[in-house]
Amino acid sequence: MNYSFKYLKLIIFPLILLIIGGNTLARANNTTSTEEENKTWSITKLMESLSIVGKGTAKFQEERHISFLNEPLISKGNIRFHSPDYLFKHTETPKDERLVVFEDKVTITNLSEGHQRSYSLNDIPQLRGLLDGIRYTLAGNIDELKKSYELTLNGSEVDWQINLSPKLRAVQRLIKIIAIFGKGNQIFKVEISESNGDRTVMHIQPILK
Amino acid sequence: MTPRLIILTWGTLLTLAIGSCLFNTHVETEFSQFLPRSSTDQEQFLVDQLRQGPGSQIIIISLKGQDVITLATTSSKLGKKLRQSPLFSQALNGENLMDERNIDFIFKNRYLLSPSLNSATFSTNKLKKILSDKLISLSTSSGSLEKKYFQRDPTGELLSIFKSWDNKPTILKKHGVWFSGKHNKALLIAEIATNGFDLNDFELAINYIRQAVEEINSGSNIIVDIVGPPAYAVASRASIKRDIRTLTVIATILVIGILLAAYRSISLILLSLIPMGSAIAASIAMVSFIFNGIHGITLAFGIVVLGVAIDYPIHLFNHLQPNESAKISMEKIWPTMRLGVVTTVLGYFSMFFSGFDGLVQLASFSVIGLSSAALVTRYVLPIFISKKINLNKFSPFIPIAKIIQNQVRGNTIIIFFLFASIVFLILNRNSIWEDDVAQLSPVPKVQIELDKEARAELNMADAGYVIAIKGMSEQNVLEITETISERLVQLKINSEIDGFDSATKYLPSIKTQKFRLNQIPKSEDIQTNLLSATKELPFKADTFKPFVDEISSAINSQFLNHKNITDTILHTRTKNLLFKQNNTWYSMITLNGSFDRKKLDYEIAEFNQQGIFGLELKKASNDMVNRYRNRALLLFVFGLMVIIFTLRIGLRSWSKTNRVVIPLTSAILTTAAILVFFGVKFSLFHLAASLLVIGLGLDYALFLNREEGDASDGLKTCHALLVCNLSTLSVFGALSFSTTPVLTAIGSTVALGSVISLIFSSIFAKNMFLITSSGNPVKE
Repeated sequence: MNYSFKYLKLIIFPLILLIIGGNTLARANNTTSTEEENKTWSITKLMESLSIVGKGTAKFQEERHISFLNEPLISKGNIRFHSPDYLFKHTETPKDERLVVFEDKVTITNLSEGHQRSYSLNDIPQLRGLLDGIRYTLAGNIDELKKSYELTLNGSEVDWQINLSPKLRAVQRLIKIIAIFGKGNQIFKVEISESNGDRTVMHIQPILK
Repeated sequence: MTPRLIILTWGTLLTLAIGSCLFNTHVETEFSQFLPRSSTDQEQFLVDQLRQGPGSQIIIISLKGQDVITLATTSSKLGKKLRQSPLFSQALNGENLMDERNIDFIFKNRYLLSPSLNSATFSTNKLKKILSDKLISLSTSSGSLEKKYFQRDPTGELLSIFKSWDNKPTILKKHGVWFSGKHNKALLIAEIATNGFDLNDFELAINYIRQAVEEINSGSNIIVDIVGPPAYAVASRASIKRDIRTLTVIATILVIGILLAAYRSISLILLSLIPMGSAIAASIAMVSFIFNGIHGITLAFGIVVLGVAIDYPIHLFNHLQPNESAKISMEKIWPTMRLGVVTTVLGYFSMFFSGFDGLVQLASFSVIGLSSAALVTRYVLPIFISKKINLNKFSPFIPIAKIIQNQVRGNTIIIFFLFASIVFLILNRNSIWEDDVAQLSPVPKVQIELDKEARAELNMADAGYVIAIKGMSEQNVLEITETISERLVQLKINSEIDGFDSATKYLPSIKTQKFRLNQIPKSEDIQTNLLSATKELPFKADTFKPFVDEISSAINSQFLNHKNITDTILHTRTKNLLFKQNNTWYSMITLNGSFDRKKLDYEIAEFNQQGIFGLELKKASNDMVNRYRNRALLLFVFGLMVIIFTLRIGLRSWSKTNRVVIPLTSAILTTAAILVFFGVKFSLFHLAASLLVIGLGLDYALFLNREEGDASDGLKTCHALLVCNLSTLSVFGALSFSTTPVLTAIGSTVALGSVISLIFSSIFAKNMFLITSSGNPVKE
């Protein structure tokens, strides 16, 4: 029963996307402008505004660029987020798959194959370190975040990009860089570059209510 | 023999015995030495399982009393520590033990281990189907899990190996370690490394755990609960030790008090210890010699039993005459005492046929002890008693002794009790015996509940049904296991069983491994198939080169068996399911969840092969213990018959024999009825205890029915018996207050039985010497 944990680290990518995507959803319900903060806009400010949690739904489209494939793999679906730690990613095409993250447990339901699997997020240190990073991002805990990641912010508040480069060797072995693209207080793209050269790009489009 | 020669012989033997006790006695603590020798395969297997089977060395550790994070960290550190310690062969706490090395090992051997491998796997059509499906799943979250191995293992053999293992629901985890769902407790499972069921190893391991938790978290007061068979065994040994220590002190004070009151002579008290002391030394030396060591349980209980050897000198002291040498007094009572000893010893002899090693040892201990105590009393003790010893004429027990001597005699009442208790016992025949072995366990109920709860949390509730496969070689049992597994898979598909675990799931037979390798086509064929399969798929040209390379070299893989998997997870998974014992290989299939016993028995019979048997563990162990009990009961009855005939020979008349046998039988049955009335359920231990009652009762009845002597002899006899009985009552009465069920059983049975025996024997005794011709009480 321990076997899946090794693989689990590979689930990190969608999870990051989920969580960051989820954060976008949070923003979707809270799109009031923060223009007055313009002058003092910084990574700290960005973190603070990103840390606001709520709930929401968004559509996503994911492109996976894999070294041995001639063309990227595309998947589509929607994601839901509920404060503080509930995430639901529903891939609709090419295959139905539901992934739920709640507290420190991940459950994947595969309807077509009729099975459901659960994992603990803390089973491997790499994953734990990584998710702590993500959680600290959501919590706006920049001090803790800086322990695990090198942070760089580019662009302006209306069109920005944050790069997270892992400090932990265990995480480095998997991920080169996580780039998050946003406009104002809204994330629209997350790009993860893996150490082996593969790349996953997720485009997020909030469903406004 | 001259007194000098007697003393010399006795002294030499005693020195030898004590010397051998001190230097040559190995006290066994391994519990299995005390278990029955078994007659059938199933039983032998069961006993072996109890001794060293899976589960008998497993403990569940729960940590509580702190916040989740502290508990989780402690669990993690403790797990690491236990895994490094040679005291443990395994320690699991939910952390990922499937390290890089193990995954690499399994990955390397995937074509030997994969259950999904068959002749179709590498055909063009199948490859096309597999690869198209993989493309779809690679685009989902869970599919991307498989990316790392995709180019080397596109057919997903590794995953299919892992899938076939995974039959247990995931246990709740917090911070990466197992936690109890209901309570805030971190849970760990550890297996103690020991050969058999050695209490010393267990104790060491358990202390190590407590110490380790203390070291990891000094001062933070984490409460450590350890449950499981080894923990119970250690705890019950400790409580037995504690009980015996306390109760021995109490009993010794009481006995010395009684003897002092009765005889007012320190030297007599010291003398009374000679036969008992010699007997204990002789028994330990002889039993160690015969059995190559003595078991701790035999030692403890044997010494308790030999406590009754103090009766012999008491008889002698009471019959000493101021104007007669001790030797002559002894000779006068010797025929009676001898008959008592011989019959008691014969009673214990019956236990030699019980087939229960522990009982045989205990019986030998008693037989040797009682005979040597009697012989020392007969030949050695009188030499030490000088005429100067002044017998106390003012024993406070004389008035009671007079009551015994002069009480109303009546046969009817004894016979009434005899029949009344028979009727009572027959009416209650369904609630006499303890049929649930678990109830005999010296473990408090709370602990058992804790254990059940922890096991349920960890999904390791006792396997209900076990199919054991016996064979001459590893491959032999593995092949049979595979055949049975195939059938069980069908039963599972039909929902007739919930699930099962077997060694072949992790370690297939070499025959199967060979078969799998034979399914692999030639390298060129695979390449051709791949090429046509991927024609319309977006894979780059040399995507599957690693796969083709590796599968070609896989054909030369070394086959796996128990020897070359020793430091891998395959060993951890199989070691309790596949093992060698006494030159026989065993493979076990354990069924979990619900099952239909009859159906399974039928299925096993269908295989029509020797060496396969199904066991419903709990039922089988209950049955086995009950069978031993019934056998012991039969032997007990047989022993009684032997005693009766011996008495008949010794007493030379049936009517005299009846005087002894009827009150004794009535007393034992009345004791049994009283215990049943109070809700006591009988076990083997009660049977062993009633042998002791028979021994005591025989003495009482024989002395009360002596024909020699006059009325003053009668009073002496009654006084002696009263003192004997009071000392027995002190020892066993104290024992009945023990916290250990076994000790309570022996204590209460003997205490009650001996008192009733004395009362009944004296009421039933019809002897001239007890009452003066005028019918008036004798004046001392």
